Amino acid sequence: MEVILTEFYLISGFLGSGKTTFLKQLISFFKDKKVALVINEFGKQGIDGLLLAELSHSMREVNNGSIFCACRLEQFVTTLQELTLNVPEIIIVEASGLSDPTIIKKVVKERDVFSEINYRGNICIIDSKTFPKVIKTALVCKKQLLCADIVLLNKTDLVNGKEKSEVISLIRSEKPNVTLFETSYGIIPADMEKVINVLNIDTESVSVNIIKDITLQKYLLKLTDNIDIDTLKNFLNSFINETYRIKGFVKIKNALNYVDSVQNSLKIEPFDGIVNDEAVQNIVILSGNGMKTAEAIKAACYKYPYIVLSIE
Amino acid sequence: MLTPKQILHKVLSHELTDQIPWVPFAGVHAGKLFGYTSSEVLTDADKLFKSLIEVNRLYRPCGQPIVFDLQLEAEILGCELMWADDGPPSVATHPLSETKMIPCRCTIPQKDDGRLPIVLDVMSRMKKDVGETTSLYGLICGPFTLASHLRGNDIFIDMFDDEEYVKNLISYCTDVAKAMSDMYIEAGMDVIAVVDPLVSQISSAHFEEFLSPCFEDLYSHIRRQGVFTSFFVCGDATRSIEVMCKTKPDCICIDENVNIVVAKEITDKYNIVIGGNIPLTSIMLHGTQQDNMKYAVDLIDNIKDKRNFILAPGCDMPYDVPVDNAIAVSQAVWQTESVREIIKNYVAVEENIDVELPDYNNLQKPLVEVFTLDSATCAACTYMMGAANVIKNELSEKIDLIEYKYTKKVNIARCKKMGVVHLPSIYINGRLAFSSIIPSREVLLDAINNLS
Repeated sequence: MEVILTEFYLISGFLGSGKTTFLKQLISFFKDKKVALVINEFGKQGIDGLLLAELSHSMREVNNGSIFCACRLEQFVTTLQELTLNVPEIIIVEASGLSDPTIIKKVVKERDVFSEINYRGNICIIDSKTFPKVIKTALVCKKQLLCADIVLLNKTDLVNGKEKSEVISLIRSEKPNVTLFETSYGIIPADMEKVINVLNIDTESVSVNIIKDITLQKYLLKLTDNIDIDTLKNFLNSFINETYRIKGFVKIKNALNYVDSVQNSLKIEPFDGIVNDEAVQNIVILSGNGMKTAEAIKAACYKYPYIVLSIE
Repeated sequence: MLTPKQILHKVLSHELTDQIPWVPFAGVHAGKLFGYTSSEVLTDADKLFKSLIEVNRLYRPCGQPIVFDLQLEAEILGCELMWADDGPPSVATHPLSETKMIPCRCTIPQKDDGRLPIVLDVMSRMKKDVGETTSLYGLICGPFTLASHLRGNDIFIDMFDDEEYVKNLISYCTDVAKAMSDMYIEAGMDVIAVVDPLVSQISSAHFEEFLSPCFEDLYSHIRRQGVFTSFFVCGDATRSIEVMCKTKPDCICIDENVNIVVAKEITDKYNIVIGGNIPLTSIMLHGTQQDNMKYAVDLIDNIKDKRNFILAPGCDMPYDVPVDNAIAVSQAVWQTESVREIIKNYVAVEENIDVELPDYNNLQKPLVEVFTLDSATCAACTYMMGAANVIKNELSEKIDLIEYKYTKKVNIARCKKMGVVHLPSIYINGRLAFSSIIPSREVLLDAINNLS
């Protein structure tokens, strides 16, 4: 009897590179198949999880209070084992933007318990605009690229021709032969099939030297219910330079908003999905090497004294 | 008859033995036995295993380390390393130098991290092959040296300006040390050696304030798992031997900067074993076979109460130590009487190397001279040199800075002529300014400015 293997796709990339946007398209590409998702996020506040909850047959989050995925490895393995019991046709894992995905690749490819899984590859999303900067400051950024089977060079609409050539050279200098597709807004210009087919090749064996990035920082701010949009913008903008990413859901005048910032560009947009009450008014802030985030948040709280109820 | 391992364990249990135990700290030197470079032996499990088996065969140790690399944890935690062919790597960058924060506990090393898979694999293989007769040492980076690796030279300023931060960082590093110990114990190590060379570079008051609780906690954590603990320090740790004893390790290992006879009086008071302290460069690296035999026999003879004593090199043996010299020490240990006979008329020949000292009274600008074992391989020396480099970068052409590494014969001669007693030391315009105390930027700057 022929054994049908579950196809396994890994999506990686630094914070704000466009993983979730791409993931939504990948799920719709597989719309006729039984898809299981694993989302790896920071802490209990699984924001991407809330955004993706309705899109797949089953979804698990590997969160539970820890920031970086390598340390939740056993939890990830257990989650994956549970998911395979339902024999999905496709498993997609979105690794956290601050994680080194090498370990996931190694586990899935080398552990015997996953013999029914066909590891198809790691799609690494790279933000054309911010990559030259973050690869210098965030250790995981380079690890994500080195472990990639395909690179999607995203947000090419935000850079000019010269900048794009430079970022491609930078990628090639680290990983010379990686297959690279250019995208904007996480949207594949050619059809997704072409991308997926590149992954039909047997991916290279995994040689790892796992290094931790101890400079990564995470803060969770609980905000007051009584807040207006201008004050929120001013408050967040006052320390945005000292962050990689700000994300969360904030209710303003009874309307839910999704707050998202990537590399100093803040967006606050209405959100019409359903969000757990616990997640509302929570803002997750991520930062790293060389950033004086704690001091900057403290100064912002001093300047806007009634906005923040607690900081974790 | 007792096995070499049993002899060592009896001594570590404070029992009297007929035989002095010997533990050659052959780190990267092990690779030299087969012509492997330091980086080869620290990154290739097969080469490391083969080299360690050869150490075991040639040097007949009671105990031996698997790797002597204080940068292993630092590398996992994001320090970039500078590799050398003939010495352990040194730390080139400090991840917390610009980001003064306490890392998340979730970054604490695990079995798959960095070079740990290689080390754990070789530990298991050594346990299987020689573990019955040889006690195996798992060496971990001590909390203070690891904290310095992560934060860089600023930690010496933080100790004055932000005590709370230093305490929290050392607490994180202690948790790292516990995790490393647990993995090494599981892989079969009999002794966990906590190697913290930078301990010798702070005052005993600072030791008690910042380090005592962490070390005591760490040793009790290790001892609860039924293995021995050893506290390695290098440099002039004389002032800290007593406070080190109070943290209750089973053994303290010292180098040639400390007078072992005097130190043993203190360790005996606390019923703690002392190990050491054959000079690494002047005897083991540059001496003859007879020099090594004589030093070992004299050292054994100088120790009046033979309990609580292990003969060992002062620290990690230099890569290029001639094999014959280490074998000579081994012979002196195992056949002490016959070796005593061989060398009874031997008088060491002093090599006369003429060294010209600068005209200190007529210098054009301040001259900062740093005397080190080797800043590329010895952590205490790295940070002493680092402190001087900080000032040199700031003052640029206004001062002259030079490092004299004790690994070169000509520099040994210079040390003698200058009267340098302890390494690392900083001399300013020919006068001793800092001996085994790493100065903060401000303190060193003051010392230079006060000249004029």
